[in-house]
Amino acid sequence: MPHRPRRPAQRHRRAAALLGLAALSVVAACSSAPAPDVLSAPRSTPLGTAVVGAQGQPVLDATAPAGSAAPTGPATGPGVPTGAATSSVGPTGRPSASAAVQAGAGTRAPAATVAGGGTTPASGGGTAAAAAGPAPARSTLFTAGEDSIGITPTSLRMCAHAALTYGKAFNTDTDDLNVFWTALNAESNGINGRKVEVTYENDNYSPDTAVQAATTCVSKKIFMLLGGIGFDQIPAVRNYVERSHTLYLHHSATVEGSAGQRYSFSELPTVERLGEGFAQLAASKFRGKRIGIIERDSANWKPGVTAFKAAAARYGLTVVADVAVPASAGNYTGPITTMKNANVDVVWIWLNALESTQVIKQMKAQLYSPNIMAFPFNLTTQTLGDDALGPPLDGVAMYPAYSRGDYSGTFASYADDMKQFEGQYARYRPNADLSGAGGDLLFLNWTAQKALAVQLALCGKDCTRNRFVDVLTGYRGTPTSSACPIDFPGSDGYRGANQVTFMSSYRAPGGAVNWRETRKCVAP
Amino acid sequence: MTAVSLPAVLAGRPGVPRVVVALLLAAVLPPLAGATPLLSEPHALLLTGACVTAMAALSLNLLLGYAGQVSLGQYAFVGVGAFTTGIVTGVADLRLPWLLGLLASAVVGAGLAFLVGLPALRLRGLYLAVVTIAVAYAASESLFRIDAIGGGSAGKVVPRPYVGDTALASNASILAIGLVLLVLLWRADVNLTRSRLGRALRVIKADESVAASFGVDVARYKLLAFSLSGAIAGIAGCLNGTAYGTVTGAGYGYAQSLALLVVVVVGGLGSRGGVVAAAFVVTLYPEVLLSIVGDGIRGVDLVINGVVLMAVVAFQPRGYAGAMADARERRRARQGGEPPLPPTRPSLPDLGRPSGMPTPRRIHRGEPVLHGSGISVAFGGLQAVDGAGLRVDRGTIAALMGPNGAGKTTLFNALTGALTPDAGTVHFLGEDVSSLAAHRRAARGMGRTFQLIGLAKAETVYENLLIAQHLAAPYGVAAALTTLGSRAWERDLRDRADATMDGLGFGRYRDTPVGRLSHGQQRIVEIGCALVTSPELLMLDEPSAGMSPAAAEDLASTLIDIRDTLGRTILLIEHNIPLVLATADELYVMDAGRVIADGEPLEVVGRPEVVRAYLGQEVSA
Amino acid sequence: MGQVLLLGLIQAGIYALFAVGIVFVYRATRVLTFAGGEIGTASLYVAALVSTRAGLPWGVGALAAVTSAVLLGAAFEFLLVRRAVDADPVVLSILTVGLALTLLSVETLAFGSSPQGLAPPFRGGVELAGIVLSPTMIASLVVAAALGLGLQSALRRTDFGLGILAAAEDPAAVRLVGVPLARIRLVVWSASAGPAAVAALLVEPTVGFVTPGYASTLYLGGLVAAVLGGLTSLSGAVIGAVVLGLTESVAQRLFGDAGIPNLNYVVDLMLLLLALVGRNALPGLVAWIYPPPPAAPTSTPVAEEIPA
Repeated sequence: MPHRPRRPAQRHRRAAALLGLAALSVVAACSSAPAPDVLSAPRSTPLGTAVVGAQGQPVLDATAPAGSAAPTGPATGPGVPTGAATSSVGPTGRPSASAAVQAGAGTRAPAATVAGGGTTPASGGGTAAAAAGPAPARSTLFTAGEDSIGITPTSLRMCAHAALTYGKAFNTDTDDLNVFWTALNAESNGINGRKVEVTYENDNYSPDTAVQAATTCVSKKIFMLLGGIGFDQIPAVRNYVERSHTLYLHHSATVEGSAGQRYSFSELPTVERLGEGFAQLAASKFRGKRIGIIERDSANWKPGVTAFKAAAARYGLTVVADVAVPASAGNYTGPITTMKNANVDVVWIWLNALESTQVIKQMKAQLYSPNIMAFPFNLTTQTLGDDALGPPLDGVAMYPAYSRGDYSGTFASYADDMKQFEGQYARYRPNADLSGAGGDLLFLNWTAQKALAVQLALCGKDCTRNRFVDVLTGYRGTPTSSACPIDFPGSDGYRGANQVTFMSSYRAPGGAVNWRETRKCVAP
Repeated sequence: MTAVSLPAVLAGRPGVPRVVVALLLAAVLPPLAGATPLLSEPHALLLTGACVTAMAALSLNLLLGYAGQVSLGQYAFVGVGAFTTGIVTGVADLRLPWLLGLLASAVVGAGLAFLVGLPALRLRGLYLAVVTIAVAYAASESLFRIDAIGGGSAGKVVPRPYVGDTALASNASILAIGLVLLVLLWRADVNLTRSRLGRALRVIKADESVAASFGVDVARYKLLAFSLSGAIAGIAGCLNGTAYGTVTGAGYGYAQSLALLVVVVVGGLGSRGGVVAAAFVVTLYPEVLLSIVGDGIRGVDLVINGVVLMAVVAFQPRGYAGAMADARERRRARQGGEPPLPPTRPSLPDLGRPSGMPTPRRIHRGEPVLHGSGISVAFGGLQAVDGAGLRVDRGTIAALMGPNGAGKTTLFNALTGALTPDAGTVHFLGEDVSSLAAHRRAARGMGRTFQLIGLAKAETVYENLLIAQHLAAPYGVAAALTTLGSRAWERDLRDRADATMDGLGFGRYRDTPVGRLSHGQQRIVEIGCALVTSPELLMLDEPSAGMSPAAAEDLASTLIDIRDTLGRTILLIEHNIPLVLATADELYVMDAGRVIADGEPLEVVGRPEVVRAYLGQEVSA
Repeated sequence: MGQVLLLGLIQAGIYALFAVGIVFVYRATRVLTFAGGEIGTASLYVAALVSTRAGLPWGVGALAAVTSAVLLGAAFEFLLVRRAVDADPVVLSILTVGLALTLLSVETLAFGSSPQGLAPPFRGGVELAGIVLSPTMIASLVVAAALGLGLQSALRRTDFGLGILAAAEDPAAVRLVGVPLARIRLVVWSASAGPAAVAALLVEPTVGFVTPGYASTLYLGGLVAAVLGGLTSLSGAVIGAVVLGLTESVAQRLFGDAGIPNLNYVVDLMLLLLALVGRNALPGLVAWIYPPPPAAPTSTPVAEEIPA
């Protein structure tokens, strides 16, 4: 039965990452603490208390009539494999779901059946709640023994690795990160009657510790492992989950090094896509201007720059200067001078949030005020204050902007999410400081959790890991108003989302300088 | 299994970790045999991490604890090992055996450490520390980030080892490998410390000139220490990469090196048991704390580490092992000391030249054993020795006297090779040894003692006698680490040491650290050490300094004994005129860098120029 | 080219500030301190709490910074260094590593990554060769040199200073002569924290704000500079810093695009090796500029002539 596609409202991805790609991969070089990341929120995406569909019906109730977001994918059966052969092989060449392969090992079988089954599904296919008896899952990634780990009729257990070390400073502990799930469990009896339990293991920004954290998570018999931001950490955990057959949903990472991996999924743009996104921003706003890049001298950051340059060439942008700096260099007078010498009009700062803030501050001290593109975190703008407004900063993100209490302008399209978020925190964690430098981090964590909850709900009462893989890889839609669309069937089967959001700094009512969106969900 | 007490385990008595290891293996073997594992995957991984730290700690202990070389960048070597494993075993489709990766890691680790050791030869303590920090940064930030080595943004993947066609998937199996490696390295360390290699390192750490006088090629052994340390660190890196599966430069930098330093200092520099125990404790306690206290404790463990490091360094710099050793000492002291040894006249056995050492050159009658001529040494603007020379004939005792500042010790050092003169030649047993380093002259048969007692003060009398025979047991590193081919030599050394101790009557001081003996006793031990390899020429720098007149008399008899019974040649620096008159056949007098008189002692002391330069009995220093 | 040199001098100013503190501690105690950067950072946090949050002027904050650093140094000596007084310098250097680690982890626990800063007392600056030199940038090298000379004179020319130097060389002998060793040590460790705070106060405006460990990479430069200058010469520290800063800047200009990741660390290492293994070059130059006191005679004086 066809149903109206859900309005592709703004969407946000699971913004697991907090302070930006930049900040966190810092584990680098210093004997001192790595540039800390304010919150390393995991990318688990607990749903909001009650996600409502377009008609206002609760989405998470599996027995609800097919609404805009209700899952009514075609019933699938084992007879579809041949159809699967035609389905998505992504540009990165992930193994296509060929019949032979499907019969044997559990490869991804993204979307084939959904595409074959109908043209309308805005949300993924998957189990039909109302269908007669649970149909077997298409995905064969997990064996029968592995399929139902971490999920019972009354509970769903997940675990996230994240850099928790700096949480204390913001009075952010794991309870602050779990408000969404707490509310969901208390107010909607979880998802499909299952209470959701999410725990966190500290990965301390280090790849080895991340593997340890992931191993500990897996030993708790979880349904799914969630990966918080971390350029170094995610590749290490990706390798681990291949070995241990764990379902892994992670934050942005590079495409590089991920060939052949089947157990990892991501609904956030890759590092390379982000680089390209910055080039798109430059093309949309700064065409004809001279562009300079200040980048982190590290293999983890390089793919972003490479993608930027390739895209810049396509758009006819001129990159006139490119300086690489070590982590936490402190004094950026040299690179700034290089930018000045080259008469750069727009500087793209490809560093973590703290470093970016330092660079911008030093630029002002050098009486140099070019346009700036950087990662949009309120930490940066609130620290800089007025320096972030003359001219306003521009940024590219894979999460929504947040400014407490401001529902006007570009915030209006997802004000419902913001209000729900603030309401839940008021009820469950009233001491959390949503207006401060951590507010946007908490919000992006929250929206990501909500988006995940929507997908978990679609998995239905007979949810298993394989079925969830079906849901995930067949998902095409926008789970929350603050999110950007996800389109797994149209992707390489691993990374289902590639839209970024442009932002710009502004003075919020109340005086703080925050970010707000200027263009949401920009496709490549 | 023998019953052993925990303190003994931690004190590093060899053989004891078998207990610990046996227990852990019991936990690890069931999964290998197909039974349910006793250790969960995360726990196995955590313990493997502790193993890695323990191995890295052993490597740093060797370099810093045994050889005294300050290395604050040890993780550069660990990282090199990890990346090497990744490069070797990760070569696509080749599926090279993991053991090859292990071997390569050890070799490359040794290689890098050797390179770092080269400049270290000329650097002391804190300068070396800064260089090693710079090496740590350069390795983790530059070297490991080169794509070919570092594997790009995703790091270097290290596949699991294969046994036949199956990969060793469980962490418990990797832990088993790690434990086996740890035990092997432990044994090698035990063998090392008991071998001439270990003794050489200890004496280098104590005093490099003393080491050279015993024939230790200081430069070579320092480089050896670096290389061995690097090899062990490389092996640790291999295990680390294998356990976690991915290697990135961020994991092997200065921060990790500092954390390792904490482990080694807290455990006790120089104690293998202490550092291994500390490695396990420091790795495991945050987890234990976390499970007891909960989330609130996150980040606090770093504060604890810092505070504990400071407390240990301030209150017990020798770490946990030091605390245990002190406790043992106090227990022994409480058991009552022994009455002091009545002074005896030592009689030194004629042991003959050790079979491991070349026989000294034969010279004709009338050829001097030692002949130095035209020797000049200047320090800055000061001319310490100015065209001095002397000759010593076989079977005689020659004495060198002069006021303080006359240049006697400087001339001595030029003759023994402890320093290189600006001009002049030295002929020993007819051979021109002017360009040879001190340890080479020692090998040819020159033995010497030092003004301030040239012994490793922290070592026991027995150990010093063994160290002194460094050149008498010419076996190499492989033999030292495995004890294959070294046992006969060691037995030989021990026999000679025993004979010397009996002769000296110092049997009861066998295990006493030399520093605890009285000055006179130390001097006797020192002479015994100088003689144990039957050198042709014995050069003694103020042997009677600090001795009572009675002891000095005994010394005189001993020296005459050495000349007459053992047939040796002696050159003395002395201030004690009665001693000189009683023993010397020839007397040289120096003043202001020149030899101003030489000849028959009784006659020389009466000469006016001698009287003028140096009058009367000087109180010994 | 002028820019390259100027950039190098700006960085050199930062290094020099740290290096002077390092050399002072070394001369006064034979210990290489690794804690200078963290002491400075901690003092700035105190200053930020006192001044910025309370809205007080910069001077108050600066005073708070220096005071808290001195108190920290005194506490460090009283509680810890005093117990380890007979340990060898390498061990004591490790003690300072412990201090650095402790301060760092406490700051992280207390403040996380949230930036703190002192509003600088002045804005703007002088423009030279296209670079705006803030007053603190200009002041850095000057203050470092002045501190160096000042401390040098205090050590050499005052009685107390000579006592400090003597105590560093031979504590046992000094004790016998009646020099108050305990007081000297307390003064030295408290005083040595002062330059650390000053360094942080002058460096922080350039960087922008303070976060735990912001000073680590910069402090490494200070260590390298101190060693380049010979570790025993305060003026050498400044010269070493200038050499290091200029070399890094020139290397960056010439080889920055050569594909060596994080070139600066390689430059640091090579300079160190060159200077240390060819060790006499730089300190020799320094010694020529500022001759050290004549070396103490190594043997006792020759006995006086007594007429026959």
